[in-house]
Amino acid sequence: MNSQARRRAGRGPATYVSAGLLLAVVLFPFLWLLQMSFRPNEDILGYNLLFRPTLEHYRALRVGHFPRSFGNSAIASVTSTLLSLLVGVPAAYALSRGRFRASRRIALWVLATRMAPPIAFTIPFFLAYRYLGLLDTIPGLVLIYLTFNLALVIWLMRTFFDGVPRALEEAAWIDGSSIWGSFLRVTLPLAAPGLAATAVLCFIFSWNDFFYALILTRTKAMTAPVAIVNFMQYEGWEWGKIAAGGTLVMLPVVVFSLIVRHYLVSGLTAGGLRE
Amino acid sequence: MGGRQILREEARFGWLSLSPALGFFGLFVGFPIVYAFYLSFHEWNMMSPEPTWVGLDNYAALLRDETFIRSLVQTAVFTVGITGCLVVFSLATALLLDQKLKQIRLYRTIYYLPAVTSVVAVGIVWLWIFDPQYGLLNQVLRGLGVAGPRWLADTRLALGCLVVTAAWRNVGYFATIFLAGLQGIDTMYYEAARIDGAGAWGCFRRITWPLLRPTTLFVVVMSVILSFQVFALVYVMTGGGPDGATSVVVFYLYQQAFTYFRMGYAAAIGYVLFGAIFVLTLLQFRFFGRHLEV
Repeated sequence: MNSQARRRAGRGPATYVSAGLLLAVVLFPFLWLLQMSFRPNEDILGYNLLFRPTLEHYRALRVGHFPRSFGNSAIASVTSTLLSLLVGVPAAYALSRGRFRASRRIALWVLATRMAPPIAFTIPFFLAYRYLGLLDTIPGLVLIYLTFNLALVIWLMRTFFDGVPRALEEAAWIDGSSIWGSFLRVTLPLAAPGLAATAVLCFIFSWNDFFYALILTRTKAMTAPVAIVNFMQYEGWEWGKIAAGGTLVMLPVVVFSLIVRHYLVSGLTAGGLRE
Repeated sequence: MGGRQILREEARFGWLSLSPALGFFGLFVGFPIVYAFYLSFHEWNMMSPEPTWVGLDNYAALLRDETFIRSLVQTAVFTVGITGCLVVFSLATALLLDQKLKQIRLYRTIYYLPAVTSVVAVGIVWLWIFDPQYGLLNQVLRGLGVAGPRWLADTRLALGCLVVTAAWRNVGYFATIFLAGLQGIDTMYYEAARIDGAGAWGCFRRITWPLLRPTTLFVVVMSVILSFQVFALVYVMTGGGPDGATSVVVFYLYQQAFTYFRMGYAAAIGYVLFGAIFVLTLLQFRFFGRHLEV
Protein backbone atom coordinates (compact mmCIF):
# COMPACT_ATOMS: atom_id res chain seq x y z
CA MET A 1 0.00 0.00 0.00
CA ASN A 2 2.62 2.50 -1.01
CA SER A 3 0.70 4.20 -3.74
CA GLN A 4 -1.16 6.93 -1.87
CA ALA A 5 -0.12 9.70 -4.23
CA ARG A 6 -0.99 7.82 -7.38
CA ARG A 7 -4.34 6.79 -6.03
CA ARG A 8 -5.32 10.21 -4.91
CA ALA A 9 -4.42 11.56 -8.32
CA GLY A 10 -7.08 9.52 -10.09
CA ARG A 11 -9.94 9.81 -7.62
CA GLY A 12 -12.87 11.85 -8.84
CA PRO A 13 -16.47 11.68 -9.96
CA ALA A 14 -15.45 9.83 -13.14
CA THR A 15 -13.87 7.11 -11.05
CA TYR A 16 -17.01 6.62 -9.02
CA VAL A 17 -19.19 6.62 -12.12
CA SER A 18 -17.10 3.92 -13.78
CA ALA A 19 -16.90 1.86 -10.59
CA GLY A 20 -20.66 2.09 -10.28
CA LEU A 21 -21.17 1.19 -13.92
CA LEU A 22 -18.98 -1.85 -13.52
CA LEU A 23 -20.88 -2.77 -10.39
CA ALA A 24 -24.11 -2.67 -12.38
CA VAL A 25 -22.65 -4.89 -15.11
CA VAL A 26 -21.55 -7.42 -12.51
CA LEU A 27 -24.66 -7.35 -10.36
CA PHE A 28 -27.37 -7.01 -12.98
CA PRO A 29 -27.40 -10.65 -14.14
CA PHE A 30 -27.60 -11.88 -10.54
CA LEU A 31 -30.44 -9.55 -9.64
CA TRP A 32 -32.23 -10.40 -12.85
CA LEU A 33 -32.08 -14.10 -12.12
CA LEU A 34 -33.42 -13.40 -8.63
CA GLN A 35 -36.40 -11.36 -9.79
CA MET A 36 -37.11 -13.83 -12.61
CA SER A 37 -37.43 -16.62 -10.06
CA PHE A 38 -40.28 -14.71 -8.35
CA ARG A 39 -42.26 -13.88 -11.49
CA PRO A 40 -45.02 -15.95 -13.03
CA ASN A 41 -43.94 -17.53 -16.32
CA GLU A 42 -46.24 -15.40 -18.43
CA ASP A 43 -44.66 -12.23 -16.99
CA ILE A 44 -41.14 -13.48 -17.69
CA LEU A 45 -42.00 -14.16 -21.31
CA GLY A 46 -44.41 -11.29 -21.87
CA TYR A 47 -42.55 -8.53 -20.02
CA ASN A 48 -45.19 -7.30 -17.71
CA LEU A 49 -43.57 -4.29 -16.09
CA LEU A 50 -45.71 -4.81 -13.02
CA PHE A 51 -43.93 -7.05 -10.52
CA ARG A 52 -46.37 -9.65 -9.23
CA PRO A 53 -44.23 -11.86 -7.00
CA THR A 54 -45.06 -15.52 -6.74
CA LEU A 55 -43.47 -18.51 -5.07
CA GLU A 56 -44.84 -20.95 -7.63
CA HIS A 57 -41.41 -21.81 -9.09
CA TYR A 58 -39.92 -22.56 -5.70
CA ARG A 59 -42.95 -24.65 -4.91
CA ALA A 60 -42.55 -26.50 -8.20
CA LEU A 61 -38.98 -27.37 -7.21
CA ARG A 62 -40.21 -29.23 -4.11
CA VAL A 63 -41.51 -32.09 -6.22
CA GLY A 64 -39.29 -34.21 -8.45
CA HIS A 65 -35.63 -34.92 -7.87
CA PHE A 66 -34.46 -31.38 -7.08
CA PRO A 67 -34.67 -31.56 -3.25
CA ARG A 68 -32.72 -34.79 -3.21
CA SER A 69 -30.05 -33.42 -5.54
CA PHE A 70 -29.77 -30.34 -3.34
CA GLY A 71 -29.22 -32.59 -0.34
CA ASN A 72 -26.65 -34.62 -2.28
CA SER A 73 -24.74 -31.44 -3.11
CA ALA A 74 -24.75 -30.39 0.54
CA ILE A 75 -23.67 -33.79 1.90
CA ALA A 76 -20.93 -34.30 -0.69
CA SER A 77 -19.56 -30.76 -0.27
CA VAL A 78 -19.55 -30.78 3.53
CA THR A 79 -18.08 -34.29 3.81
CA SER A 80 -15.30 -33.65 1.34
CA THR A 81 -14.51 -30.33 3.04
CA LEU A 82 -14.17 -32.00 6.45
CA LEU A 83 -12.09 -34.89 5.10
CA SER A 84 -9.77 -32.62 3.17
CA LEU A 85 -9.19 -30.52 6.29
CA LEU A 86 -8.48 -33.66 8.30
CA VAL A 87 -5.86 -34.90 5.84
CA GLY A 88 -4.64 -31.57 4.49
CA VAL A 89 -4.14 -29.47 7.64
CA PRO A 90 -1.40 -31.67 9.20
CA ALA A 91 0.28 -31.94 5.80
CA ALA A 92 0.18 -28.17 5.38
CA TYR A 93 1.65 -27.73 8.86
CA ALA A 94 4.46 -30.14 8.05
CA LEU A 95 5.23 -28.27 4.83
CA SER A 96 5.17 -24.94 6.62
CA ARG A 97 7.38 -26.00 9.55
CA GLY A 98 9.15 -29.04 8.25
CA ARG A 99 12.82 -28.54 7.73
CA PHE A 100 13.09 -30.94 4.88
CA ARG A 101 14.57 -29.71 1.67
CA ALA A 102 11.76 -31.11 -0.44
CA SER A 103 9.02 -29.08 1.26
CA ARG A 104 8.86 -26.21 -1.23
CA ARG A 105 9.01 -28.58 -4.17
CA ILE A 106 6.27 -30.78 -2.70
CA ALA A 107 4.10 -27.72 -2.17
CA LEU A 108 4.53 -26.65 -5.80
CA TRP A 109 3.63 -30.10 -7.10
CA VAL A 110 0.60 -30.24 -4.87
CA LEU A 111 -0.53 -27.00 -6.45
CA ALA A 112 0.28 -28.37 -9.90
CA THR A 113 -2.38 -31.06 -9.42
CA ARG A 114 -4.88 -28.21 -9.42
CA MET A 115 -3.67 -27.15 -12.84
CA ALA A 116 -4.00 -30.56 -14.45
CA PRO A 117 -7.05 -30.75 -16.71
CA PRO A 118 -9.84 -32.55 -14.84
CA ILE A 119 -10.96 -34.18 -18.06
CA ALA A 120 -7.68 -36.10 -18.28
CA PHE A 121 -8.47 -37.62 -14.90
CA THR A 122 -12.09 -38.31 -15.45
CA ILE A 123 -11.94 -41.25 -17.84
CA PRO A 124 -9.74 -43.34 -15.53
CA PHE A 125 -11.96 -42.36 -12.60
CA PHE A 126 -15.08 -43.25 -14.52
CA LEU A 127 -13.69 -46.70 -15.38
CA ALA A 128 -12.34 -47.35 -11.90
CA TYR A 129 -15.62 -46.22 -10.34
CA ARG A 130 -17.58 -48.47 -12.67
CA TYR A 131 -15.36 -51.37 -11.63
CA LEU A 132 -15.58 -50.57 -7.91
CA GLY A 133 -19.28 -49.74 -7.93
CA LEU A 134 -18.65 -46.10 -6.97
CA LEU A 135 -20.49 -44.58 -9.94
CA ASP A 136 -23.54 -42.60 -8.91
CA THR A 137 -22.63 -42.71 -5.20
CA ILE A 138 -21.91 -39.90 -2.77
CA PRO A 139 -18.65 -41.48 -1.53
CA GLY A 140 -17.50 -41.48 -5.16
CA LEU A 141 -18.16 -37.75 -5.40
CA VAL A 142 -16.52 -37.05 -2.06
CA LEU A 143 -13.35 -38.85 -3.15
CA ILE A 144 -13.02 -36.93 -6.38
CA TYR A 145 -13.70 -33.61 -4.63
CA LEU A 146 -10.95 -34.53 -2.18
CA THR A 147 -8.39 -34.50 -4.97
CA PHE A 148 -8.88 -30.82 -5.63
CA ASN A 149 -9.87 -29.67 -2.14
CA LEU A 150 -6.83 -31.31 -0.58
CA ALA A 151 -4.48 -29.34 -2.81
CA LEU A 152 -6.30 -26.14 -1.88
CA VAL A 153 -6.16 -26.91 1.85
CA ILE A 154 -2.46 -27.71 1.76
CA TRP A 155 -1.58 -24.62 -0.24
CA LEU A 156 -3.71 -22.17 1.75
CA MET A 157 -3.09 -23.53 5.23
CA ARG A 158 0.63 -23.61 4.56
CA THR A 159 0.61 -19.83 4.08
CA PHE A 160 -1.59 -19.34 7.15
CA PHE A 161 0.76 -21.49 9.28
CA ASP A 162 3.72 -19.51 7.92
CA GLY A 163 2.10 -16.51 9.59
CA VAL A 164 2.17 -18.06 13.08
CA PRO A 165 5.47 -17.21 14.82
CA ARG A 166 7.61 -20.23 15.51
CA ALA A 167 8.73 -18.74 18.81
CA LEU A 168 5.30 -19.36 20.31
CA GLU A 169 5.63 -23.08 19.62
CA GLU A 170 9.15 -23.16 20.99
CA ALA A 171 7.87 -21.55 24.18
CA ALA A 172 5.31 -24.33 24.48
CA TRP A 173 8.03 -26.95 24.03
CA ILE A 174 10.08 -25.39 26.82
CA ASP A 175 6.98 -25.72 28.98
CA GLY A 176 7.08 -29.44 28.20
CA SER A 177 4.58 -29.64 25.39
CA SER A 178 5.11 -32.14 22.58
CA ILE A 179 4.99 -31.12 18.92
CA TRP A 180 1.48 -32.53 18.59
CA GLY A 181 0.50 -30.62 21.72
CA SER A 182 1.89 -27.29 20.56
CA PHE A 183 0.30 -27.80 17.14
CA LEU A 184 -3.15 -28.43 18.62
CA ARG A 185 -3.05 -25.92 21.46
CA VAL A 186 -0.99 -23.06 20.05
CA THR A 187 -0.68 -23.06 16.28
CA LEU A 188 -4.08 -24.30 15.19
CA PRO A 189 -6.09 -21.84 17.32
CA LEU A 190 -3.97 -18.97 15.99
CA ALA A 191 -4.62 -20.08 12.42
CA ALA A 192 -8.34 -20.52 13.09
CA PRO A 193 -9.58 -17.66 10.86
CA GLY A 194 -7.56 -19.09 8.00
CA LEU A 195 -8.96 -22.52 8.74
CA ALA A 196 -12.50 -21.20 8.54
CA ALA A 197 -11.81 -19.43 5.26
CA THR A 198 -10.20 -22.54 3.79
CA ALA A 199 -13.19 -24.64 4.80
CA VAL A 200 -15.59 -22.21 3.15
CA LEU A 201 -13.57 -22.16 -0.07
CA CYS A 202 -13.50 -25.97 -0.20
CA PHE A 203 -17.22 -25.97 0.27
CA ILE A 204 -17.71 -23.44 -2.53
CA PHE A 205 -15.55 -25.36 -5.00
CA SER A 206 -17.32 -28.66 -4.30
CA TRP A 207 -20.74 -27.06 -4.26
CA ASN A 208 -20.14 -25.44 -7.66
CA ASP A 209 -18.82 -28.58 -9.29
CA PHE A 210 -20.69 -29.46 -12.42
CA PHE A 211 -18.18 -31.43 -14.43
CA TYR A 212 -17.44 -34.39 -12.15
CA ALA A 213 -21.04 -34.77 -11.04
CA LEU A 214 -22.18 -34.77 -14.67
CA ILE A 215 -19.91 -37.68 -15.52
CA LEU A 216 -19.78 -39.68 -12.31
CA THR A 217 -23.42 -39.53 -11.19
CA ARG A 218 -26.74 -40.48 -12.76
CA THR A 219 -29.82 -40.21 -10.57
CA LYS A 220 -29.17 -41.36 -7.00
CA ALA A 221 -26.19 -39.11 -6.33
CA MET A 222 -27.07 -36.37 -8.83
CA THR A 223 -26.13 -32.91 -7.53
CA ALA A 224 -28.14 -29.69 -7.77
CA PRO A 225 -26.24 -28.07 -10.69
CA VAL A 226 -26.71 -31.22 -12.78
CA ALA A 227 -30.38 -31.44 -11.82
CA ILE A 228 -30.93 -27.86 -13.03
CA VAL A 229 -29.24 -28.51 -16.35
CA ASN A 230 -31.35 -31.65 -16.70
CA PHE A 231 -34.57 -29.79 -16.35
CA MET A 232 -33.33 -27.23 -18.80
CA GLN A 233 -32.86 -30.01 -21.31
CA TYR A 234 -35.81 -32.26 -20.66
CA GLU A 235 -38.59 -30.04 -19.38
CA GLY A 236 -38.45 -27.29 -21.97
CA TRP A 237 -37.86 -23.65 -21.25
CA GLU A 238 -39.56 -23.12 -17.94
CA TRP A 239 -37.56 -20.00 -17.21
CA GLY A 240 -39.13 -19.43 -13.80
CA LYS A 241 -38.24 -22.85 -12.49
CA ILE A 242 -34.77 -22.70 -13.99
CA ALA A 243 -34.21 -19.27 -12.42
CA ALA A 244 -35.44 -20.50 -9.03
CA GLY A 245 -33.07 -23.48 -9.17
CA GLY A 246 -30.20 -21.23 -10.22
CA THR A 247 -30.93 -18.81 -7.39
CA LEU A 248 -30.96 -21.61 -4.81
CA VAL A 249 -27.63 -22.94 -6.09
CA MET A 250 -26.11 -19.46 -6.09
CA LEU A 251 -27.32 -18.37 -2.67
CA PRO A 252 -25.02 -20.28 -0.28
CA VAL A 253 -21.99 -19.33 -2.34
CA VAL A 254 -22.83 -15.64 -2.34
CA VAL A 255 -23.47 -15.65 1.40
CA PHE A 256 -20.26 -17.56 2.18
CA SER A 257 -18.19 -15.41 -0.19
CA LEU A 258 -19.28 -12.32 1.69
CA ILE A 259 -18.36 -13.97 5.00
CA VAL A 260 -14.82 -14.86 3.94
CA ARG A 261 -14.31 -11.92 1.61
CA HIS A 262 -10.94 -10.98 3.09
CA TYR A 263 -9.52 -14.38 2.20
CA LEU A 264 -11.26 -14.82 -1.12
CA VAL A 265 -8.35 -13.48 -3.14
CA SER A 266 -5.68 -15.87 -1.91
CA GLY A 267 -8.14 -18.73 -1.99
CA LEU A 268 -9.17 -18.21 -5.55
CA THR A 269 -5.65 -17.62 -6.72
CA ALA A 270 -4.57 -20.91 -5.20
CA GLY A 271 -7.73 -22.46 -6.50
CA GLY A 272 -6.69 -21.78 -10.05
CA LEU A 273 -9.27 -23.82 -11.81
CA ARG A 274 -12.85 -23.13 -11.00
CA GLU A 275 -15.14 -24.44 -13.67
CA MET B 1 13.33 -31.89 25.39
CA GLY B 2 16.84 -31.45 24.03
CA GLY B 3 17.43 -29.68 20.73
CA ARG B 4 18.43 -32.79 18.82
CA GLN B 5 15.50 -34.73 20.20
CA ILE B 6 13.14 -32.00 19.01
CA LEU B 7 14.65 -32.09 15.54
CA ARG B 8 14.20 -35.83 15.37
CA GLU B 9 10.65 -35.64 16.67
CA GLU B 10 9.91 -32.83 14.25
CA ALA B 11 11.12 -34.81 11.28
CA ARG B 12 9.02 -37.80 12.36
CA PHE B 13 6.02 -35.60 12.95
CA GLY B 14 6.53 -33.98 9.56
CA TRP B 15 6.61 -37.14 7.52
CA LEU B 16 3.82 -38.71 9.57
CA SER B 17 1.46 -35.81 8.89
CA LEU B 18 2.47 -35.53 5.25
CA SER B 19 2.16 -39.18 4.32
CA PRO B 20 -1.66 -39.52 4.22
CA ALA B 21 -1.88 -36.57 1.85
CA LEU B 22 1.01 -37.76 -0.31
CA GLY B 23 -0.44 -41.28 -0.38
CA PHE B 24 -3.76 -39.89 -1.46
CA PHE B 25 -2.17 -37.85 -4.24
CA GLY B 26 -0.16 -40.85 -5.38
CA LEU B 27 -3.30 -42.92 -5.68
CA PHE B 28 -5.78 -40.35 -6.93
CA VAL B 29 -3.54 -38.30 -9.17
CA GLY B 30 -0.84 -40.82 -10.06
CA PHE B 31 -3.19 -43.64 -10.97
CA PRO B 32 -5.37 -41.65 -13.40
CA ILE B 33 -2.34 -40.14 -15.13
CA VAL B 34 -0.72 -43.54 -15.64
CA TYR B 35 -3.94 -45.33 -16.53
CA ALA B 36 -4.99 -42.66 -19.04
CA PHE B 37 -1.58 -43.02 -20.70
CA TYR B 38 -2.07 -46.80 -20.90
CA LEU B 39 -5.58 -46.37 -22.32
CA SER B 40 -4.44 -43.94 -24.98
CA PHE B 41 -2.60 -46.81 -26.72
CA HIS B 42 -5.71 -48.99 -26.68
CA GLU B 43 -9.11 -49.21 -28.22
CA TRP B 44 -11.97 -49.90 -25.84
CA ASN B 45 -15.69 -49.32 -25.96
CA MET B 46 -16.22 -51.01 -22.56
CA MET B 47 -18.25 -53.81 -24.19
CA SER B 48 -15.29 -56.14 -24.58
CA PRO B 49 -13.74 -57.23 -21.28
CA GLU B 50 -10.25 -55.96 -22.15
CA PRO B 51 -8.88 -52.94 -24.02
CA THR B 52 -7.18 -53.89 -27.32
CA TRP B 53 -3.63 -52.66 -27.96
CA VAL B 54 -3.46 -50.41 -31.02
CA GLY B 55 -0.13 -48.69 -30.47
CA LEU B 56 -0.02 -45.11 -31.72
CA ASP B 57 -3.13 -45.51 -33.88
CA ASN B 58 -5.25 -43.21 -31.69
CA TYR B 59 -2.71 -40.41 -31.93
CA ALA B 60 -2.33 -40.95 -35.67
CA ALA B 61 -6.12 -40.91 -36.11
CA LEU B 62 -6.30 -37.59 -34.25
CA LEU B 63 -4.15 -35.93 -36.90
CA ARG B 64 -6.64 -36.99 -39.59
CA ASP B 65 -9.79 -36.29 -37.56
CA GLU B 66 -11.29 -33.16 -39.09
CA THR B 67 -13.79 -32.69 -36.29
CA PHE B 68 -10.95 -32.79 -33.79
CA ILE B 69 -8.93 -30.28 -35.81
CA ARG B 70 -12.00 -28.07 -35.95
CA SER B 71 -12.45 -28.29 -32.19
CA LEU B 72 -8.78 -27.33 -31.79
CA VAL B 73 -9.24 -24.29 -34.02
CA GLN B 74 -12.36 -23.27 -32.12
CA THR B 75 -10.55 -23.70 -28.81
CA ALA B 76 -7.77 -21.50 -30.15
CA VAL B 77 -10.24 -18.82 -31.26
CA PHE B 78 -11.95 -18.94 -27.89
CA THR B 79 -8.60 -18.77 -26.08
CA VAL B 80 -7.33 -15.80 -28.07
CA GLY B 81 -10.65 -13.99 -27.74
CA ILE B 82 -11.00 -14.46 -24.02
CA THR B 83 -7.35 -13.73 -23.26
CA GLY B 84 -7.53 -10.47 -25.19
CA CYS B 85 -10.75 -9.45 -23.44
CA LEU B 86 -9.39 -10.41 -20.04
CA VAL B 87 -6.13 -8.48 -20.36
CA VAL B 88 -7.94 -5.31 -21.44
CA PHE B 89 -10.91 -5.43 -19.07
CA SER B 90 -9.12 -6.88 -16.05
CA LEU B 91 -6.37 -4.30 -16.31
CA ALA B 92 -8.95 -1.53 -16.67
CA THR B 93 -10.81 -2.83 -13.62
CA ALA B 94 -7.58 -3.12 -11.65
CA LEU B 95 -6.59 0.47 -12.51
CA LEU B 96 -10.02 1.54 -11.31
CA LEU B 97 -9.72 -0.42 -8.07
CA ASP B 98 -6.24 0.97 -7.47
CA GLN B 99 -7.81 4.38 -6.89
CA LYS B 100 -8.53 5.34 -3.32
CA LEU B 101 -12.25 4.64 -3.43
CA LYS B 102 -14.48 4.56 -0.41
CA GLN B 103 -15.85 1.07 0.20
CA ILE B 104 -13.09 -0.37 -1.99
CA ARG B 105 -13.31 -3.74 -0.22
CA LEU B 106 -16.99 -4.05 -1.02
CA TYR B 107 -16.41 -3.26 -4.70
CA ARG B 108 -13.70 -5.87 -4.87
CA THR B 109 -15.85 -8.52 -3.27
CA ILE B 110 -18.74 -7.83 -5.58
CA TYR B 111 -16.58 -7.78 -8.71
CA TYR B 112 -15.44 -11.19 -7.57
CA LEU B 113 -18.86 -12.78 -7.29
CA PRO B 114 -19.15 -14.08 -10.88
CA ALA B 115 -15.93 -16.03 -10.46
CA VAL B 116 -17.19 -17.93 -7.40
CA THR B 117 -20.70 -18.50 -8.67
CA SER B 118 -21.77 -21.83 -10.08
CA VAL B 119 -21.07 -22.04 -13.78
CA VAL B 120 -24.60 -23.40 -14.21
CA ALA B 121 -26.15 -20.29 -12.67
CA VAL B 122 -23.93 -18.12 -14.88
CA GLY B 123 -25.00 -20.16 -17.89
CA ILE B 124 -28.69 -19.71 -17.06
CA VAL B 125 -28.40 -15.93 -16.80
CA TRP B 126 -26.52 -15.53 -20.08
CA LEU B 127 -28.74 -18.00 -21.90
CA TRP B 128 -31.58 -15.71 -21.02
CA ILE B 129 -29.66 -12.57 -22.06
CA PHE B 130 -28.91 -14.13 -25.46
CA ASP B 131 -32.39 -15.60 -25.93
CA PRO B 132 -33.54 -14.39 -29.39
CA GLN B 133 -37.18 -14.00 -28.35
CA TYR B 134 -37.30 -12.92 -24.72
CA GLY B 135 -33.67 -12.09 -23.98
CA LEU B 136 -32.47 -8.71 -22.77
CA LEU B 137 -30.17 -8.13 -25.71
CA ASN B 138 -32.80 -8.51 -28.40
CA GLN B 139 -35.42 -6.68 -26.35
CA VAL B 140 -33.10 -3.69 -26.24
CA LEU B 141 -32.29 -3.99 -29.95
CA ARG B 142 -36.00 -4.21 -30.75
CA GLY B 143 -36.54 -1.05 -28.73
CA LEU B 144 -33.95 0.63 -30.95
CA GLY B 145 -35.80 -0.66 -34.01
CA VAL B 146 -33.19 -3.30 -34.93
CA ALA B 147 -33.99 -6.99 -35.40
CA GLY B 148 -31.46 -8.85 -33.25
CA PRO B 149 -29.72 -12.01 -34.45
CA ARG B 150 -30.32 -15.44 -32.98
CA TRP B 151 -27.07 -15.16 -30.97
CA LEU B 152 -26.36 -18.66 -29.65
CA ALA B 153 -28.15 -20.30 -32.58
CA ASP B 154 -26.04 -18.43 -35.13
CA THR B 155 -22.93 -20.35 -36.20
CA ARG B 156 -20.97 -17.13 -36.69
CA LEU B 157 -21.90 -15.58 -33.32
CA ALA B 158 -22.22 -18.46 -30.84
CA LEU B 159 -18.53 -18.76 -29.99
CA GLY B 160 -18.31 -15.00 -29.52
CA CYS B 161 -21.24 -15.13 -27.10
CA LEU B 162 -19.38 -17.74 -25.07
CA VAL B 163 -16.31 -15.50 -25.01
CA VAL B 164 -18.41 -12.64 -23.63
CA THR B 165 -19.92 -14.86 -20.94
CA ALA B 166 -16.57 -16.30 -19.90
CA ALA B 167 -15.06 -12.79 -19.85
CA TRP B 168 -17.85 -11.55 -17.58
CA ARG B 169 -17.22 -14.45 -15.27
CA ASN B 170 -13.43 -14.07 -15.04
CA VAL B 171 -12.71 -10.34 -15.11
CA GLY B 172 -12.88 -9.92 -11.31
CA TYR B 173 -10.50 -12.81 -10.76
CA PHE B 174 -7.84 -11.55 -13.14
CA ALA B 175 -8.33 -7.94 -12.05
CA THR B 176 -7.19 -9.02 -8.60
CA ILE B 177 -3.97 -10.42 -10.02
CA PHE B 178 -3.37 -7.17 -11.91
CA LEU B 179 -4.17 -5.20 -8.77
CA ALA B 180 -1.45 -7.07 -6.88
CA GLY B 181 0.95 -6.18 -9.68
CA LEU B 182 -0.08 -2.51 -9.64
CA GLN B 183 0.42 -2.22 -5.91
CA GLY B 184 3.90 -3.60 -6.30
CA ILE B 185 4.98 -0.62 -8.43
CA ASP B 186 6.93 1.95 -6.48
CA THR B 187 5.16 5.37 -6.43
CA MET B 188 8.56 7.00 -6.75
CA TYR B 189 8.44 6.39 -10.51
CA TYR B 190 5.14 8.25 -10.83
CA GLU B 191 6.33 11.14 -8.74
CA ALA B 192 9.43 11.48 -10.86
CA ALA B 193 7.41 11.28 -14.07
CA ARG B 194 4.99 13.91 -12.85
CA ILE B 195 7.83 16.29 -12.08
CA ASP B 196 8.94 15.76 -15.67
CA GLY B 197 5.43 16.75 -16.76
CA ALA B 198 4.06 13.36 -17.76
CA GLY B 199 0.27 12.99 -17.94
CA ALA B 200 -1.85 10.02 -16.93
CA TRP B 201 -1.52 8.31 -20.31
CA GLY B 202 2.22 8.90 -20.43
CA CYS B 203 2.59 7.41 -16.94
CA PHE B 204 0.62 4.36 -17.98
CA ARG B 205 2.52 3.81 -21.21
CA ARG B 206 6.00 4.50 -19.88
CA ILE B 207 5.75 3.13 -16.33
CA THR B 208 2.70 1.01 -15.54
CA TRP B 209 2.55 -1.12 -18.67
CA PRO B 210 6.28 -2.00 -18.87
CA LEU B 211 6.53 -2.72 -15.14
CA LEU B 212 3.40 -4.86 -15.27
CA ARG B 213 4.86 -7.08 -17.97
CA PRO B 214 5.51 -10.10 -15.70
CA THR B 215 1.98 -9.83 -14.28
CA THR B 216 0.50 -9.57 -17.76
CA LEU B 217 2.41 -12.64 -18.86
CA PHE B 218 1.15 -14.52 -15.81
CA VAL B 219 -2.42 -13.50 -16.57
CA VAL B 220 -2.02 -14.63 -20.17
CA VAL B 221 -0.65 -18.03 -19.18
CA MET B 222 -3.40 -18.57 -16.58
CA SER B 223 -6.07 -17.47 -19.03
CA VAL B 224 -4.75 -19.86 -21.68
CA ILE B 225 -4.72 -22.76 -19.21
CA LEU B 226 -8.31 -22.00 -18.17
CA SER B 227 -9.51 -21.48 -21.77
CA PHE B 228 -8.03 -24.75 -23.03
CA GLN B 229 -10.31 -26.47 -20.55
CA VAL B 230 -13.57 -24.66 -21.10
CA PHE B 231 -16.39 -27.18 -20.98
CA ALA B 232 -19.24 -26.46 -18.60
CA LEU B 233 -20.25 -23.17 -20.24
CA VAL B 234 -20.33 -24.92 -23.62
CA TYR B 235 -22.30 -27.83 -22.23
CA VAL B 236 -24.86 -25.63 -20.50
CA MET B 237 -25.24 -22.88 -23.09
CA THR B 238 -24.85 -24.44 -26.54
CA GLY B 239 -24.20 -28.18 -26.24
CA GLY B 240 -21.41 -27.70 -28.78
CA GLY B 241 -23.82 -26.35 -31.36
CA PRO B 242 -25.10 -24.87 -33.53
CA ASP B 243 -23.75 -27.35 -36.06
CA GLY B 244 -20.59 -27.94 -34.02
CA ALA B 245 -19.65 -24.25 -34.03
CA THR B 246 -18.85 -24.18 -30.31
CA SER B 247 -17.41 -27.66 -29.96
CA VAL B 248 -14.10 -27.16 -28.14
CA VAL B 249 -11.49 -29.81 -27.38
CA VAL B 250 -12.78 -30.82 -23.96
CA PHE B 251 -16.33 -30.99 -25.26
CA TYR B 252 -15.21 -33.19 -28.15
CA LEU B 253 -13.32 -35.40 -25.71
CA TYR B 254 -16.41 -35.66 -23.52
CA GLN B 255 -18.50 -36.75 -26.51
CA GLN B 256 -15.96 -39.33 -27.63
CA ALA B 257 -15.78 -40.82 -24.14
CA PHE B 258 -19.30 -40.56 -22.81
CA THR B 259 -21.49 -40.48 -25.91
CA TYR B 260 -19.58 -42.86 -28.20
CA PHE B 261 -17.64 -44.68 -25.46
CA ARG B 262 -14.38 -44.51 -27.40
CA MET B 263 -12.34 -44.59 -24.21
CA GLY B 264 -8.90 -45.08 -25.78
CA TYR B 265 -9.40 -42.34 -28.34
CA ALA B 266 -10.72 -39.95 -25.70
CA ALA B 267 -7.74 -40.76 -23.47
CA ALA B 268 -5.41 -39.87 -26.34
CA ILE B 269 -7.15 -36.48 -26.75
CA GLY B 270 -6.87 -36.01 -22.99
CA TYR B 271 -3.16 -36.71 -23.16
CA VAL B 272 -2.60 -34.17 -25.91
CA LEU B 273 -4.42 -31.59 -23.78
CA PHE B 274 -2.63 -32.66 -20.64
CA GLY B 275 0.72 -32.35 -22.43
CA ALA B 276 -0.05 -28.81 -23.55
CA ILE B 277 -1.17 -27.72 -20.10
CA PHE B 278 1.73 -29.48 -18.43
CA VAL B 279 4.20 -27.51 -20.53
CA LEU B 280 2.38 -24.26 -19.74
CA THR B 281 2.30 -25.08 -16.03
CA LEU B 282 6.02 -25.83 -15.98
CA LEU B 283 6.70 -22.55 -17.77
CA GLN B 284 4.59 -20.84 -15.20
CA PHE B 285 6.50 -22.36 -12.30
CA ARG B 286 9.79 -21.47 -13.91
CA PHE B 287 8.89 -17.83 -14.41
CA PHE B 288 6.31 -17.10 -11.77
CA GLY B 289 7.00 -19.32 -8.76
CA ARG B 290 7.10 -16.11 -6.74
CA HIS B 291 3.74 -14.88 -8.00
CA LEU B 292 2.00 -18.02 -6.81
CA GLU B 293 2.63 -17.03 -3.22
CA VAL B 294 -0.15 -14.46 -3.29
